[in-house]
Amino acid sequence: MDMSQYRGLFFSETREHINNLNKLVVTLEQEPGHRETINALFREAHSIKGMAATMGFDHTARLSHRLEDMLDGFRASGEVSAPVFDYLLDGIDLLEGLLDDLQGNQPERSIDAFLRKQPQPPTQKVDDPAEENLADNALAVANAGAPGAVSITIETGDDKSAESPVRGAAAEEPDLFQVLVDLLEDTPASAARCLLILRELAGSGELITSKPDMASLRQGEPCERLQAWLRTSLTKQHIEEALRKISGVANVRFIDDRRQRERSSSDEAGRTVRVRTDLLDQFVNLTGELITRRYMLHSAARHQDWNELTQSLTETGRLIDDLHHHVLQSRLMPLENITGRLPRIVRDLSRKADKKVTLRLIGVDVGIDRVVLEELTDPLVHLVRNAVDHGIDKEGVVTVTARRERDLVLIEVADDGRGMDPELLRRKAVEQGLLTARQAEGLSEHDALMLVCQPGLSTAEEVTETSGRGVGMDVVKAAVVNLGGTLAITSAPNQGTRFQMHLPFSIAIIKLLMVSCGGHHIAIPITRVQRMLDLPSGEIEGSAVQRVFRLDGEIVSLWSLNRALGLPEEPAGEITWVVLTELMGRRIGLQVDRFLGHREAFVKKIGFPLNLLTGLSGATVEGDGRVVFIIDPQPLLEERQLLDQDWTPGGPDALS
Amino acid sequence: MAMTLTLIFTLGNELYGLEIDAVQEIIENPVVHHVPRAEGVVGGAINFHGQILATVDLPALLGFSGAPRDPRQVVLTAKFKSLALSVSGIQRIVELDLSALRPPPASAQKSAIRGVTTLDQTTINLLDCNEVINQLEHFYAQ
Amino acid sequence: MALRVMIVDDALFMRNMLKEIFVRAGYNVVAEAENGEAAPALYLEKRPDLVTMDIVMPKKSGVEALQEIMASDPDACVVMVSALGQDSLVLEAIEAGAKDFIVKPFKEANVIDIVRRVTGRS
Repeated sequence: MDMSQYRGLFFSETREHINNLNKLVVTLEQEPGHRETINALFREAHSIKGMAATMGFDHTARLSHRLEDMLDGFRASGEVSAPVFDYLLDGIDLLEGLLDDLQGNQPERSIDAFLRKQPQPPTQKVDDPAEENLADNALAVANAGAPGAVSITIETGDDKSAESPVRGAAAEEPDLFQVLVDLLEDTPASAARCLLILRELAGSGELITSKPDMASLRQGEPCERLQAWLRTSLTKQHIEEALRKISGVANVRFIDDRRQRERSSSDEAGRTVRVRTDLLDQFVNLTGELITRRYMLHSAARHQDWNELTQSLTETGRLIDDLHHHVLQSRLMPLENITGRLPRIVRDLSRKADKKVTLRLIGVDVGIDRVVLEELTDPLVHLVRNAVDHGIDKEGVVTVTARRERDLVLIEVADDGRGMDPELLRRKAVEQGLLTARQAEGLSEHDALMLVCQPGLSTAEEVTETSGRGVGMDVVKAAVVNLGGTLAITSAPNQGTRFQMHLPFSIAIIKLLMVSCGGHHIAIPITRVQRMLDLPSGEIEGSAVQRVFRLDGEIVSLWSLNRALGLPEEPAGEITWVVLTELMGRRIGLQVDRFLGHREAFVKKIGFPLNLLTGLSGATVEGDGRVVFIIDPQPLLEERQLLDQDWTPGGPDALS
Repeated sequence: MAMTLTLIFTLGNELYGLEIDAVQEIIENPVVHHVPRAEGVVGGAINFHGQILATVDLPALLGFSGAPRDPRQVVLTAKFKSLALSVSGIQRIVELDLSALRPPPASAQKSAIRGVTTLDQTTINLLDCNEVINQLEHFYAQ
Repeated sequence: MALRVMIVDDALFMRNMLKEIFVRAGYNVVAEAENGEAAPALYLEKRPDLVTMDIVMPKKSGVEALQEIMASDPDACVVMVSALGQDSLVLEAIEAGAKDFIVKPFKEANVIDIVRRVTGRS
């Protein structure tokens, strides 16, 4: 059986086990009698042994077997005495060294010295003098082997790499490694300098070979970087110190060392995400295809083969789209990550309010970008909390449903409770001076329900109690809008309430519609665009104050985006270019000067005070370096609605 | 006497000072991009090493009408929200003793002056960056 | 005991400068020679812990003097002093057993670092 295909898995899993071993030993050190920790340690070592033996990695298997035996002894005795920790940690380091060897396709280093130092696994009780003897031995061994080593803290990767690779009990085992020495720029007589360095290295072990080698250095070949392979029982630290004393030496590096440092820094980054391997395979495939494409493009360009060039460009575009898609996929995390806490919340709330509420979660395995997911946590909890508090009367069901709807994900929180009364909300809004009576009358049912998202209304206790949801709904709406999503409410008295959030899967890279207004480029998130229309200007009706047009038998208000953005308006030609968007469930046309096309863009955050400007949600940089601002029409329109007291969302037909 | 490196610039005809510690960079002739709805006190935005920063028209914000603008801009440190300031003229960097500032004249209502000192018999107003931020917040909070 | 140093250089200026550096570092300058011919005999007489040896000198070059000293005392600790552009001579000297080399113009700290390294004293 070909085991090589399992190498990658073996290394990643064994490194995880080694991580755990390190953590567990440190934990155990705090509480040496903790039986569970000892058991866990035993299991980790046991796992490594099994895998290493299967892979045929003899030294790794033997060493982990020894550790396993030792830990088994502690399982019997129930406690680990203090001095043994150093020894254990040395053993773990040695295991790590063995993995380095194997991953570097080198023979496993010798473990005999380590094994010799631990003649018998302890089987006696702690109070047995033999055990103490053993512990003393282990201590003495550890100290003799590695002066100053073995203060293991899991976080500090730098300390570890400084002491590696040959510390601990294995320190006197000769070890092969590669040294890279950089000389300062313009070091005089660099060949002579390198000869001195090689002489120093030869004095600290067996100098196997070097690049450049002695012969070419003796010929006076100038050299700014010396590479040498050395077998030595000295520590890297020791060698580095000696080399750094030599005049003209700028930098000393060890190849293994660097690898370790990289590994530990990635550990510190902490936020890891598990990516399915088939996804990673797709990355590799796509990258491979892209590389091939690049050569084809080069070749086509060289031969000025326009057909081939065009075709290759199209193909490259497709590959990039694919890659983008898969990269975004790799950032997706299931919604379950944040719905996991809901059952507990619902249980606590319903118990407190003496209600009987059932929570149903449907489709929560849908993947959502981690950033969106993080921002969504609070709004979702708010909605569920409100459903239990205000939606359900005595007994009922709260359902959280998630599903994909094309480029968006729909997350819905529904209850089968008493529902909300739009009429009551209208009245309250007027009483509290949020709307004039005429405005309130003009509100559609949906718009009236959306009034619960008005901060002013949310605090009104009576509304909350009898028909509303108030609590924090403004916060929910703001969060959804910030993510480039929309919030919709449907409800009727005694027929429950349904909150629907449509959200983009990912927000880092979004699709934008680029338009031109008053000579400036403006970007609108595609999630805000329902349709792009080119209307014959003659079909625009209404007054100068309020223009409208007919679409699918409906009358739609037309606004000038130029005016909303404070930009000069161009006189419309025969065609009026309109971006169809929606505000509070109603379609609205935004007139622009020109469409410039779609673009996928990385969204940059904008600094203070740009972030205070209504309607500006970010910026993107175009290929020519032009900074284009991304506007969100929704807040612009809402602001307009507030300023323009005569305006009602229903358009002129609502006025008559 | 502790001396502080201070950037001297003009707003209209008045001399202002800004501690170098508050300055991240002075940039020559940046490309200023249009910002929709910025209305007056934000003159535009610049792409500053990949960050999109507002350029604040300081003479306009502080009520110096008709003053010229230096083509250079002063980018404040992140502590002061990395604002890029457009001023009437950037002059030089001097050492000032800022330990004994006098209070600003009471008349200066809209001013952003942390205190006043003198250099070669000329009055230097020390710019109060926090107050600049306050005024911007106030300006856009409506 | 203070490190005992011998300076070999044909230029009085360089000898004085090195001497000042060494004295300030607390070393004992026990001998000075102004050419390569006098150096080997003086070395045998004084047995210094360290020799600084100019490479280009009249009568006998530094490399030749070095070879003679090494022949008489394989453990001799000799540091060459060279000017820029004498790479091949420096190489020759290193091959012949010089412990290190200093390139003019040099800095005081640099000289002391090299001396410390080759003598193993701090």
